[in-house]
Amino acid sequence: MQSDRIGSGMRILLVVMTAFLALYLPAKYVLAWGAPELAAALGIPYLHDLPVATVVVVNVTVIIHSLLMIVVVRQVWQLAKVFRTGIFFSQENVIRIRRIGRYLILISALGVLAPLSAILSVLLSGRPVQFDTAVAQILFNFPAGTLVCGLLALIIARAFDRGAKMATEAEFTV
Amino acid sequence: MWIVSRLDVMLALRKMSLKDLSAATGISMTNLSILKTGKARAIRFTTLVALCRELDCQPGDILEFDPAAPALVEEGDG
Repeated sequence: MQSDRIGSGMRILLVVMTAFLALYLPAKYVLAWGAPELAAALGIPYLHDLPVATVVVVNVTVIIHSLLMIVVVRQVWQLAKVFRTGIFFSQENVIRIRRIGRYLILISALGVLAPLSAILSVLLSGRPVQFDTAVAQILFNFPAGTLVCGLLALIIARAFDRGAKMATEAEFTV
Repeated sequence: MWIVSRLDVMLALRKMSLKDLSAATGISMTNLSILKTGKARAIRFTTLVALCRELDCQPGDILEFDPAAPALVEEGDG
């Protein structure tokens, strides 16, 4: 009974988290559309002033980022569900954890590629770019935490892979 | 795995069934079946002791090294 309550609470929390992750980045751009002060306050580029290519790059990146986050949260959710049944060391879990790691690394790469491609598209449009500001933007916004989490997930996946093999060995030890 | 189980031969020689051996040794039918069909990847000394005691034989009578047997586990795995 108590575990059911914890389970449903966890489910609600994950749904809220997924919705938040899927919506908060696009929502920031929608809110800041036509409001340069709000864009500055939210720490995002003001898209009205930028060339069309930059706007497209930023929006595509945001959509991919949100989709990847949803996939990661879904994988974590499924992993939590399997762990609750008491199955830890299986190849399915290894694949899930590995997938989480890969997507997190991809998300962190997007964190670098998005501002970089936006700056490049501004440069290609012939507008001036302050390089020190641009470099600072990339460096300070680098999602190091996400990258570390991704790498950790890959290491954990290797440990689980080993565990799954040992579980099979144990199953066939008489 | 190049180790072949000869448990079925030993059982036939002793005119024993797997069920009888299970009851006498306390080893589960599942484990004995895994051993008999050659699916086992490892065997505990305690299992060997129980089998040898009950079948009145040596470990070499139950297990045999056969270089021509098909490999069940890749070399270096685990």
